[in-house]
Amino acid sequence: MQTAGFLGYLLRRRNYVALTAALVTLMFVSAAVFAPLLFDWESATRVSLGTALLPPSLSHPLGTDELGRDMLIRIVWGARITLVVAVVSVIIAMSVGIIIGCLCGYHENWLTNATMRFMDFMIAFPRTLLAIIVVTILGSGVLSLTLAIGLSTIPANARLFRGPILALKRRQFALAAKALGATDASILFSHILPNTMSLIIIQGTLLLADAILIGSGLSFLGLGPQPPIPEWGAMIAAARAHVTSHPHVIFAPGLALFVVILAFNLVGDALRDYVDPRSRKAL
Amino acid sequence: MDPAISRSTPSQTVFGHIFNTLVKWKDSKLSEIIPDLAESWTKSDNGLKWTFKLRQSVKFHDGTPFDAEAVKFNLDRISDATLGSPNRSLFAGVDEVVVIDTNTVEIRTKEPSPTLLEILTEAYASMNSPTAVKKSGRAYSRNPVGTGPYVISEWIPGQHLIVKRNPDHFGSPGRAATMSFRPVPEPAARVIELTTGNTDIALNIPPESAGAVAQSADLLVEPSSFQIFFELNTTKPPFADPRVRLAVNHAIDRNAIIEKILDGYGRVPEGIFPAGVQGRARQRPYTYAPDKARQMIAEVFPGGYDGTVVMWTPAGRYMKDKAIAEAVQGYLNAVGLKTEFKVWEWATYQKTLYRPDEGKGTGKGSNDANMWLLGTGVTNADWRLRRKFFSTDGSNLTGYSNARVDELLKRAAVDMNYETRMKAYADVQAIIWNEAPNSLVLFDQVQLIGKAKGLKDPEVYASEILRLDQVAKR
Repeated sequence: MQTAGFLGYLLRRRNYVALTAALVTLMFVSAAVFAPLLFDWESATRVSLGTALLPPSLSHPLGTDELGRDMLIRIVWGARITLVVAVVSVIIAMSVGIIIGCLCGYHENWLTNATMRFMDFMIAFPRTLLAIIVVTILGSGVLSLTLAIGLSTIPANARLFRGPILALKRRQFALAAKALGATDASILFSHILPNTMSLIIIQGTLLLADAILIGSGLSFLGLGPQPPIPEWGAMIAAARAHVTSHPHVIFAPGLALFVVILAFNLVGDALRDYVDPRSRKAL
Repeated sequence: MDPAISRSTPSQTVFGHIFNTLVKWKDSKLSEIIPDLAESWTKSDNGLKWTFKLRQSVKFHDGTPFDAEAVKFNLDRISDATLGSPNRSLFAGVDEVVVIDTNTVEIRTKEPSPTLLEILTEAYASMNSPTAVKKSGRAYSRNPVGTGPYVISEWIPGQHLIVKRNPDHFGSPGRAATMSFRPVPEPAARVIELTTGNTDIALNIPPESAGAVAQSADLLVEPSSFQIFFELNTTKPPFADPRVRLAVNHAIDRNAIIEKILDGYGRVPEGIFPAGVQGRARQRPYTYAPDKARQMIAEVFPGGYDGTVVMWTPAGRYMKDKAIAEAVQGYLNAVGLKTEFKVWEWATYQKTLYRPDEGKGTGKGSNDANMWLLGTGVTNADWRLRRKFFSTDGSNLTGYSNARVDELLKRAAVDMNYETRMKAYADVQAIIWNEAPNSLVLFDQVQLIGKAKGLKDPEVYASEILRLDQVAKR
């Protein structure tokens, strides 16, 4: 319903770029969801050196990698891994970040102050480094990669959401709710938080793009899922050696990564316009 | 940069130019041992005393005269536990070094030592200036001083090391006035340095760049004593049974790996010793027979092995190591073994593998895996076998223990007859290859070296060490 509203809005604004981006996003999401129906896991991972590094052809539309695996199948399965990691890590980062942000914005005492200073400390720490430390401690794999991205994104979210909560709790409707005797929890979660929903949606979309980028970066460094699991960043790392002789092996995962991140960013931008009442009024 | 301590091949290439040893191999074929700092030598009839006559009026780069005292100082130093040299065990057979007169030194061994001369050719046995060692103390590795054809003139670690010709060298003087050695870790960067004329020699050219190098420079393809393999944990299933270890050796297609991943730059192993290793006894290469492999596994595990095989590999240490490990994983899956894969960074990997872990399977950190990828390039037959196959050796990571191999190696270690000693090593190689391997052998490396056109006569050893003092540039 909401999605339809958003797509309709894009159509009315003739924002075809964002519309395309939305469709691309949809395409990759469905590839991720339906990967097991399209291709089986066996053909995504089976090594067959006889067909290594074939250029794109009818039977292998994107060619094959250095171990003879079809690139298209690996990209599709890679989308599943990449997007699952991104979505779950963003859910972790947003939910924990929002809870910390809400509590620290609503209550002001030494504990929340200390928590926020701790968050500042974490923000000052390079994010990629923080993620690398988490992966090193937990060992590399899909789960630890997800946790690493999630944990390293929490501080920025906590800070981002504290601001609006701090402002909203002084607004009249919040004070009125308080005067009527509403509990803290009900003021916070049924009056204040819904007012930040637009922020949550936009931030979520943009964070997704960010999470994909960081996840692929860590995988590129070998800190992601272990072979033979296909992951775009790891595929780029493996293809690096063949850039001059067989460019197609780096082209496919590189392009997939580029397109998905661009699409998420464009959709995020368009969403911002859509939920911002001022830009809608101008229509 | 202390030859007594360092084990890195690039450092040893530099050592060869700054230092001399008492005796050396005549050429890169290891055909014969010839004098270097020692002019001649004799051994006593019981084989326990070796007397070396030293070359006279040789001086170290700092002016210290080279004499019998210096030999004693150097050999005592490497055997000294306080130095903590990882190469100390190599010299464990030396009982005492005695100065007879200024130019005569006697080395007494605990047991007849047929390998003594071979050990003295190693870079670890380089002669350092005693004055410089005493003066620099722990910082000696920053200021090495030898007798070689070149002297260090500038060294910025991680950037470059420049040597200049030593005018007082006793042998044939170096041809080039100066040489500069630079570490360039990124393979693609090495290729660029070579093709743009920034460097005259680039080592370890990646196979996929071989074509590009051949266009603007010369590509040397030299045999290497390096063999790459997966060592197998022989202390726990599935590889506790030698039949399974043999089976996996038949499960992989080495030709395909070499052709497709290494672009043809590698050789199918004919035994555990590649070309260039002393006492090589060639065996029949393992065939690629997945059905046979599956059958052999089924003999030991009817219905298949249902555990998971844990595979470890470093990334970037050996030619295409990770890609090859992935391919092996594919082949193992194809014969019904389930696998778990882990990629390591080299320094951590090495530390983990060798970490003592008493009482557990292999007694080392390696026990946490079933198979791990390594390579070895040791050219000395005794040392190469003893490290990997002697049941109580500290470098034996697989927990390998075979009474016959132990017995043969023990006897060979005191056998003063070269022929029968080499025969013993050949027997060991045959047992390991045909009956009880400790590893899944992958391929014999070849050295891919890029060389500027017009550069003549670099001497390339199978151990991947280079001698460049007689190199001429046109």
